[in-house]
Amino acid sequence: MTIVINEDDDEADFGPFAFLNSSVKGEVLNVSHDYRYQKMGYYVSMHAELSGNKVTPSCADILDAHRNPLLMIRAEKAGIPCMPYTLLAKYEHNVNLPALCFAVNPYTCNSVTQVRSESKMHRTMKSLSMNNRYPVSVQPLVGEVKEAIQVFGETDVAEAKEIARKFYEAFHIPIGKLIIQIHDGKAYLSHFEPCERKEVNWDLVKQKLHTIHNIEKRGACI
Amino acid sequence: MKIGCFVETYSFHTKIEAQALENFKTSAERKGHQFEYIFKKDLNRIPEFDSIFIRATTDPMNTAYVVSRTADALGKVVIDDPHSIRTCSSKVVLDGLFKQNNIPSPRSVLFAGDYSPDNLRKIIEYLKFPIVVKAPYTKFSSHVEKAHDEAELKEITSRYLKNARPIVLQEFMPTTFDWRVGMLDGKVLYLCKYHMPKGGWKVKSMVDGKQEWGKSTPIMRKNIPKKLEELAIKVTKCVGDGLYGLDIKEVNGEYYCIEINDNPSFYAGIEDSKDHDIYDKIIDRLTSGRPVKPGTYRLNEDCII
Repeated sequence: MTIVINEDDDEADFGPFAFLNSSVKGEVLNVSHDYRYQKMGYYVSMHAELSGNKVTPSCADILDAHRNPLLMIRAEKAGIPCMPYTLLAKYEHNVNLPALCFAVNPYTCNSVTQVRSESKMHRTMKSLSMNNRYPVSVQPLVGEVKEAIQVFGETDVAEAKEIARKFYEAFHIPIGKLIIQIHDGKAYLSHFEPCERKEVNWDLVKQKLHTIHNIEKRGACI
Repeated sequence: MKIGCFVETYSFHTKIEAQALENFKTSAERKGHQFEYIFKKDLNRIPEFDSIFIRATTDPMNTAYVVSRTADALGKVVIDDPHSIRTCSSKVVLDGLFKQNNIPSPRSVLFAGDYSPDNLRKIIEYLKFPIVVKAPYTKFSSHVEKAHDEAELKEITSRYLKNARPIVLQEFMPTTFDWRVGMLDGKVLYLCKYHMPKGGWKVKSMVDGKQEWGKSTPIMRKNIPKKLEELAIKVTKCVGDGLYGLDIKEVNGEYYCIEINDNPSFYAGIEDSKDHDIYDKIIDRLTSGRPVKPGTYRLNEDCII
């Protein structure tokens, strides 16, 4: 397995840009804090796919996770408790408030907006939809909103541990931020976003990669 | 069958584009199918349709991708399918696709912002000025600029790198027109020459401070030069058997692929003026019950050009 990491790390076989100019064969693990479309993390997976390699995460998984309605459809199928959502094409009066809104067009990496009044809903829709150009995902805001950084299916946020594990099993995205709501003591998935570099526990990432390397070596010996 | 045609009005600028859309509807209804325009507000209705035809700007960032991916996941025939959108929407991806399959195309390099003198010297020596700078998400000749010297190269690239990384730097290959080869199901659907406007170097160019489109010359598909057809078929195989518009340059009898576009534009009276059956063929594909098959990215060794 070839490991590509966007951080300096002894476990890395390649940095992202060097990988784009390589012709590696075989399985690829792409580790980044940001897989957004048109960012380096995305292109590493794309380059691996173009070369006919199996890559984690795949481009389809990356895009699905970053588009709220696609995330919710797949997460639900994977048995992750999800908040119900409505897609709005423009501002509507009859939305139940308070609500949690997300841009379906993911130009920003922090679109999560809590809305408690009609006037804010109007402004939020205008902003997140980029003047009604893109739909907005609207969910009921019924509990505490928490962010959980997941690394290979693990997180420090106690309520989100099960969601993080299932999310990684379903989408295979090594690093990312899960937005969850806690309602009646139960956690529900609301959204997924890239992390900022500083938000990631890179020591944990290194530890995980070290384990993967060791498993690989053992596999080779068997 | 029931065809849902996903439309975003901002994607349509001229009457002849709207007329082409109506021609699809007419063709479908003449064949006994239902053809309904659907919009952003109808995203929850995708399961109602047998097939989805996207006539909106496709890009993984756009709503059209959500529509395509949802329809595909439900097993519908969808044009454009999500695989084709992922492949064709990025010029960085196309650059890799062309290189690994030895598809003739202008010389190019990916650039991620290494402005070291050594790197710039290598790039300039390889591509030579003027250098074409392309953002990965370019559509209709937008976000494609020509740098004539190092200062311009730095200025344009730094601007483009704010939104995407890497970007594509390409050798400038001047021609008076680009071939547009429309492909469906791995076969040529229509053929046109898209001319550059007088004084411009792209199909849509800034001439004397005004955006100008070049003229189009339709040609019967049966008259396609053999070599051009072979190239178009091979390039398309890498992506899939959906609907594509290939932009190809001809220099001294050789053909160079510039782009493969999913969701090619249709203008009534242009693409359809020589081969009138293009609407019927697309409707037949949508109602075939046969989902678009993604390409393999990599051609078999015996197909590599």
